[in-house]
Amino acid sequence: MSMDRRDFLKLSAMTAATAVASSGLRAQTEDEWAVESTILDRTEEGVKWDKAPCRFCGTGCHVQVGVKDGRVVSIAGDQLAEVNKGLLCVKGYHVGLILYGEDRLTQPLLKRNGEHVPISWDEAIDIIADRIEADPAGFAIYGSGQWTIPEGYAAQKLIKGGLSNNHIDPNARLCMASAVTGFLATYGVDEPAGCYDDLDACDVLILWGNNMAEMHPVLFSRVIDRRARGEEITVIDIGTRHTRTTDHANHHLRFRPNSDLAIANGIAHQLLLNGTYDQEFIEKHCNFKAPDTNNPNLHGRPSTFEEYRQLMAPYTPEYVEEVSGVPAADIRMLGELFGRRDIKITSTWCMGMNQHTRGTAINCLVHGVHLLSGHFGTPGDAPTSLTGQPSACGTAREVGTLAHLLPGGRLVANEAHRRDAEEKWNLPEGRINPVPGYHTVKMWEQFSKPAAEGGDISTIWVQVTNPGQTLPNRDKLFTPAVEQADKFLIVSEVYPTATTRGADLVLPAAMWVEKNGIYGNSERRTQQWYRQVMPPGDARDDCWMTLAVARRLFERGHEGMKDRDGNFIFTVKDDEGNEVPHWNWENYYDVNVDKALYEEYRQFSRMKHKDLAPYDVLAQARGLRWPVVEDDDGKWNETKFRFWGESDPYVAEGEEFDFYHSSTGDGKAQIWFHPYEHAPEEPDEAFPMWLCTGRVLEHWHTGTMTMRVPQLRNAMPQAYVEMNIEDARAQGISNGEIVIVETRRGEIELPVWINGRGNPPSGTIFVPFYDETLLINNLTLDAFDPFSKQPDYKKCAARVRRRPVEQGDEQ
Amino acid sequence: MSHDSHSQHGRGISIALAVVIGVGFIGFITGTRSQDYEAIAVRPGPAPLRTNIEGLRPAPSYREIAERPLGPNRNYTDVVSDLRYTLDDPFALERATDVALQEAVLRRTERRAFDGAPPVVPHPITQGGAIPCIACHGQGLMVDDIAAPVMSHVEMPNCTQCHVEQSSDWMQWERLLERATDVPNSFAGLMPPKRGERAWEGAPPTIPHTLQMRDNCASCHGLLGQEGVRSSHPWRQSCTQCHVPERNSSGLWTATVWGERQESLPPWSAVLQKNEAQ
Repeated sequence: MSMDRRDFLKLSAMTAATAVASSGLRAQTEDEWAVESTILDRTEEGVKWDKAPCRFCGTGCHVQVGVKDGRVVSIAGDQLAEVNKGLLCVKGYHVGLILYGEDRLTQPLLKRNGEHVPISWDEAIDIIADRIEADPAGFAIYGSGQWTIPEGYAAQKLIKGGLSNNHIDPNARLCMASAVTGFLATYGVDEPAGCYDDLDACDVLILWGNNMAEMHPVLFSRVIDRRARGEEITVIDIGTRHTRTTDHANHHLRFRPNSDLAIANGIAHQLLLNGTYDQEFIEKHCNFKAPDTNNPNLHGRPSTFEEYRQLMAPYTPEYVEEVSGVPAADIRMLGELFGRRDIKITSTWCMGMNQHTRGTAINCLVHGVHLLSGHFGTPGDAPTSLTGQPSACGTAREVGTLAHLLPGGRLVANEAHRRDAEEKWNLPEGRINPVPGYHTVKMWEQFSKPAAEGGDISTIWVQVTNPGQTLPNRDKLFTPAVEQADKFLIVSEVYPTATTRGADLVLPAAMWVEKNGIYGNSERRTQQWYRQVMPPGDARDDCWMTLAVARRLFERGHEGMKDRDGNFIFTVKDDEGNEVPHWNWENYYDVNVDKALYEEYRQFSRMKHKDLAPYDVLAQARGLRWPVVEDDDGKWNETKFRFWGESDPYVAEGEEFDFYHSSTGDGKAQIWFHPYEHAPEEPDEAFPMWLCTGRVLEHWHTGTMTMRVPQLRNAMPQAYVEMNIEDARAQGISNGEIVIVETRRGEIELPVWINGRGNPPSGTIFVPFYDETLLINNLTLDAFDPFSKQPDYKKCAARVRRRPVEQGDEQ
Repeated sequence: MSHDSHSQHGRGISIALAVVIGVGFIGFITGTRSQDYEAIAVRPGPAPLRTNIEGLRPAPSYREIAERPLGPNRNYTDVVSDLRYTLDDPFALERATDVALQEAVLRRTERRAFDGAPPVVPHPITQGGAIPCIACHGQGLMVDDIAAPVMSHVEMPNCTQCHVEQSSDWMQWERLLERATDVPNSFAGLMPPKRGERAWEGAPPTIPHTLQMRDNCASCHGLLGQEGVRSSHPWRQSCTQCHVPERNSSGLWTATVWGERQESLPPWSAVLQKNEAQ
């Protein structure tokens, strides 16, 4: 080093000073310090702070956003937010930077002769209206758990109440559909009974295939920080590889992929064998269910405790060890923990249990061991699924933007539900189509299949998501449609992505605090924020786009855009009762359209007792957990623990528990048996390794946002393949070497990381999916759970090959 | 010393020996591992960040920090008699000059996207869990002029949740990097505040920054802190006895701020007009 520290500092200070004020660092006196203060500006001058939920995962942390001169300049953890209590993760602290990648999309683009050329918004809206008019039954919307609630609600109403074809599904199908079916099959109603307060009260935290330290770091800290306060927490990591979570876990139970079902059954077996199940709880509050093999359906067939005991009998610790690789002693340890009445046990899971061809089954089994042992419902005892997206619960599940749902837990196949929705929307009876639309995999299959071969989806409008990167088996589900002239892909996006590159029409979107919004997080918490900065160029709200298209159709006389009285289905009125032309962008913020849509949607929330707070109440809170019920004093109270008499206002006075949406109609939850079965594709001689995919701490999903944040991109700049050192040694592969990872569906070149961020056991490899230049989803399997229709990204058979020598030599 | 005795003298020697051996050991260990960092920063960094706002300086990239090695280990020696313990005499510390303060503040910005962002980790992290971090950052240590600061929120052991390393040295990223997204970002973050205010010359200055996540003032202002922000009286431990946060310096400090700010906000329509006008 030729430069000493002082020189370096002076140089860097000078560079900074000249860059901004074009004057060198000369400040030697108090007077000159004043001049330099333009560089070292004080934080409070001109900075306005406001609240917003973080843009990324389903944890739902609140951030404080500092805005100066119309731009976000600072982010702080919100100390008043119950979710995160002032703490964020590295993505959250840098969330403000996601607005400022220099390749933001700022004008509508139409593909002409293979090139994207700018067009006007008016033309863009016309093109979409043309596509709908040409083939109304073949028009689909592919949405997102990152949609705000009003955005999802508007798209939902357009498709189901306007176009009557039900072809709307969100990316959440790829994310939490199995959690939904697990809740429905067990409790008869979706979403967790517990909440994050369980994390403050539990003695044992069991992570089912859940790398919480990287995926939900703020929640993970909420637990392990308790150790620093002298509390004892036992963290049990049930996973398929060593992760950062394992570093903090007391026990790491490493299992063979797909055998988590055997582990759950092993716990039940121990409870039954030792007689440590909670007899009083199951007698009062539970029924038993088993899969109906003759007629497979979500609610199965009734079973009995005796049959349940028989079905569980084979799952001895030794058998479970044989199937899963988890030592029998650890299965007994789990059984003993669940058998104890003096401790509180919380289970969490996310994609590990959901992206699973047996997703519904494993979700049911984990609920089952909590119910069987009575570790349910009171603070600290909870089976809780976490969501990966900020509004997977709020927009996908509660608004019901799935192909078979109507808002508020209603089903399109249920006539009474359709009539109710038509009533609330003031639509003529029969407007809503009784046939569910296409779920995600089916929708893209029908889009990719040529029309001549029965591919009856001709246009998909993608909002707030990136299926070109996230769909499994891309070459089957995404790429073919892009290449067909009669298929038309519309994409609302903020940055160029793998999806926009294939799009015929690209619509530039406003994001996060560039628009009003409402999200719903993993713990039933509905969170509102206001627009705080303006979107760049001609970028506009996704919600506005939907409403503008609906209006264009209305003006062209489309019957579906009229209600019973012939009025526009998205009529919004101001305080004086005059209709506001919100479909004109310049008028969009004349009223708070978000509030109008949300208040309309809110009336759907009562049927399933998911009562939402009024918009103005939400605006004053850091989110509120439903059901939010008004008391006699006019105060709106949230609910922490659902179905528990001491917390849930819908449980009758004096009752300890009431599963008031029970599928058996008797106020009881269902304890399920499901057998362990093999995965649809397992390692064999030709493809001897398990391939698992997932996220990393620094990047959120496809990296569209986080890869444009220098601090995050530099920390984790590209995809890699994690490999066990034994497997690498066997093939003579060295750390950092570029190898070919291959499955039956495709191959990809990736550098090997041995003993890296995660460490898979021998026979397993892991590849993150965030890198759009290295698309692992060309390799993943599109097999899905029969009930949730959620694909399994976590396991398929793969092999790793060294590159041919001559290629390697070019390096 | 007039009241010297044999036993005290002997204890003095053993303490001195312990110090010498300890410092020698640290010097040896750090000396043996100082060379690798030159080889790390092979990958070209992203384009420099642009600054669009008067008065704001862009945050440096972590990559730029990577090009700055941890520093030479000039103190390395295997001659025990040459070892010196050079900690400044705490009683001789004076109030920092403005230049030193400014230097310290600018140096802080090198590792943060904006004031308040968690600083990056300027060295590779090769072990998991909190224990490797706490080994140095639990009590803090200083080698040459490179300090491992004391954690300012010791009750939070999931360090890598917020503090990410720059691209670590385990993989030669440059092999595939021409394919990676490398889009410039025009974010320009807030800079740190200037000095706190004094009611009169000689009065204790107020704290000009937020206290969020800063439970231990000694992290930055203690003896391991940089010259410009180091306390002139590190033996006094109850900082907030005399130094209080500036109530108006930030909207983030007290539990009542949000509610108060809501009342002070212009009505919704006025916010809209302001936004539309931009």
